[in-house]
Amino acid sequence: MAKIERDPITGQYTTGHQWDGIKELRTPIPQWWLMVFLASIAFAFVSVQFLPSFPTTDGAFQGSLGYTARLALEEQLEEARQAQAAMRAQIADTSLEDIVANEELATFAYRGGQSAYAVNCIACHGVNAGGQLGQFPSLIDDAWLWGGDLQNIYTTINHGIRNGLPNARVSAMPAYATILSEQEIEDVADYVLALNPRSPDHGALAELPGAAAYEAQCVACHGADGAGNQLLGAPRLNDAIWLYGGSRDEVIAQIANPKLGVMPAFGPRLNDDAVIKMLAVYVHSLGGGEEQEGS
Amino acid sequence: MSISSDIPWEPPPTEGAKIRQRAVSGRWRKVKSAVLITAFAFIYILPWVPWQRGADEPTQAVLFSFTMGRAYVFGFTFWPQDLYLLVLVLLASAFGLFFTNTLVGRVWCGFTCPQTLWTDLFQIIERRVEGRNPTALRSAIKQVLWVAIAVVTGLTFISYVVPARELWPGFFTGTAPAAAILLVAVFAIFTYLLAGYAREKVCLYMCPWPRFQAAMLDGDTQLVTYQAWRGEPRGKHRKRSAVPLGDCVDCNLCVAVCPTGVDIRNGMQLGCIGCGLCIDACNNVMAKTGSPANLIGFFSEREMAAKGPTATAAAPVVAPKRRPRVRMIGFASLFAIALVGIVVVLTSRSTMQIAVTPERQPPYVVMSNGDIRNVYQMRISNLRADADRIRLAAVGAPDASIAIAKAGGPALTGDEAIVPLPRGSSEALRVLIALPPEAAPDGREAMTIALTDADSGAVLAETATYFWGPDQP
Repeated sequence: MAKIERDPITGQYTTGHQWDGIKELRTPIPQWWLMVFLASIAFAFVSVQFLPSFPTTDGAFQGSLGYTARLALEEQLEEARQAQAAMRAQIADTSLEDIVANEELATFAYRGGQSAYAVNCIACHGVNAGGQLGQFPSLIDDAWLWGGDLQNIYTTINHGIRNGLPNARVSAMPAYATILSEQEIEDVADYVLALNPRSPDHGALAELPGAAAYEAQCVACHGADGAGNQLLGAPRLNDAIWLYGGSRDEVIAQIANPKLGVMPAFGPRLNDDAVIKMLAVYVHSLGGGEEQEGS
Repeated sequence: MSISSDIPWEPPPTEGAKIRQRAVSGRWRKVKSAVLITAFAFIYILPWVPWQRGADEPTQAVLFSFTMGRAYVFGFTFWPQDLYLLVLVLLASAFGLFFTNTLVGRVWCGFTCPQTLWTDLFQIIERRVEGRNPTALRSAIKQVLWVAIAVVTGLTFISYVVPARELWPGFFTGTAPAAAILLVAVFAIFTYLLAGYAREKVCLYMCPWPRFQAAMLDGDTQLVTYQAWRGEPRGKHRKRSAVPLGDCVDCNLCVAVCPTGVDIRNGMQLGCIGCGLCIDACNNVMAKTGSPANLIGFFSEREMAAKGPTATAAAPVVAPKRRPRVRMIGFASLFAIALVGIVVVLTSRSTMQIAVTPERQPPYVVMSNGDIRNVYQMRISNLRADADRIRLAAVGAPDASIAIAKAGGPALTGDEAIVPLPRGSSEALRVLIALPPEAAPDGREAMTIALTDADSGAVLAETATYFWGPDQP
């Protein structure tokens, strides 16, 4: 039988229980703590009504507020879009030259372009725009197949290259395997490799056996000194940059059966001119951007 | 038995009841008041002290700005990366506290702890305004004063975070940031509650320091002590007493003036914060009864043991000399080391900071003319250098050409690549460093990048990184 008594030493009541003569003091948890605990339990019952709370046989109870983390994210994204809307509209309405002339717009375009690059371009051109040898051109060097000023970069991104769309940049190098003999192709390759002023053979360029074939077949697009032609997407041949490899075998292979790069048109794909412009500003800023022609 | 091992703890006799401290005058009260006035003058005025700095920097002498991510203390500017200094400051504070505790017990608690200071201030107001016979009007005036002090205190504390000249007008017009107003309110409410109502309960139940500070005491620590051998047996009406009584007349004034309501005559206890007010109260009484002063006073355990029951007021045993003690010297040395560390760190901090991350994918890029170019992401910060224009340089690579990529334009080179970096600012840069093919390394090579003052050419900071060249076959 529980007998509640007062402990003479501490002056507190005991719980009334005894175990082998050991009694326990009654030291209840503080009243305020108990109240908070009970209030928490009450709150739990209320919150269960409002928020997604427990699983059911066919999904989960949605809660009367209709809150989901996905919707909340969607709202945050919408807020962010609203916050950016003015700047995006301004970029869409401003010419590329005026965007880069305005520091605030240029910075916004650079950052926006950086994000858009990560989503759309990394797959081919690489995380840091280094491209991939033999497939996709580097965007951080100073060589541009189709031109490296803002307008040209914009056009390339907007319409793409050799993708079959009406405005796409198109050019086609013939496969010389069917036009020239193997010996002629090798001679042309030697001539092309000697176009670079740093090449040891550069001094005797005119005497090389491939000179005549180069003159007849290649000059129209690549130019007499191998400077290339950005209007035709014909790469410069007298520099140190070789997209498809700079060894003799690789050059021969490219002359015989050229690889022709393809790039999708991001204009119709993204359907947002502001993003295309921001991408152009970003790519132009990476370190290889050329000055606008005539400016 | 060591004094530190077993401290009797009894609930103060006034537990549950509100302690209304009696006023007392005397030596320790004067010290306490002096500390109180000095500390409050310091705390309340400091946010208003002006200090001239750079153009975009605050003009407040002491400001810990979270929004700017900087701490300004007079001529010093601290950046988030200086946070490790806080470790030294905390170490110095801790060892300083331990040292004083070993020397003279809880002087921090009794004289300088904010809880003691504000409780003291609120008690003084309560005594002066309300007195012993509170009326509704007097209580109301007291409440108004308490709330006013609490609000000013809240504003003052937040003034160390938000500039005072913006916060105060903003608070009263409601235009200050919501977070600032909320924090002022939190500090005000807790000042009001802790100093007005919680008072000694903070020391008795909330503060951990009283619970373990006794571990730093030893036999020579000067503590507030009742000399029981002199005072006992205590009693009133000494002349009519049948047995000879001690010096204690049992007037209970020592309890009445105690801010925590303890009875010092029960020996050392957790509730005693060592403020010495009971010494003042008792000495006033001793003067009146004609007994020698310091029945309660600052004594060490060894002094007490030497006097002990055998001594008498007429023939006190000479107090033993104080000894140099390992614990005291140890804490003092650690305190000094931490202080020296702070000074060394303060005087040797770098003035300019540079952090470099080379881009690894691709490690290098070949340019049209055959140059090998590497790309680096850099963050350069002018912490406290008197230089406005910074030039980047690759140490030991005269052939290197350095360019800084610009958002929306061709990369900047030469004099265009000088970065305007006034004191206190920070820039993120995309830096392009190119070497001619014959100078480019075979694979990876160490490279040092330096920040130089574009005007004087002095090197302000250097950092080690790498330059990658093509692997030669």
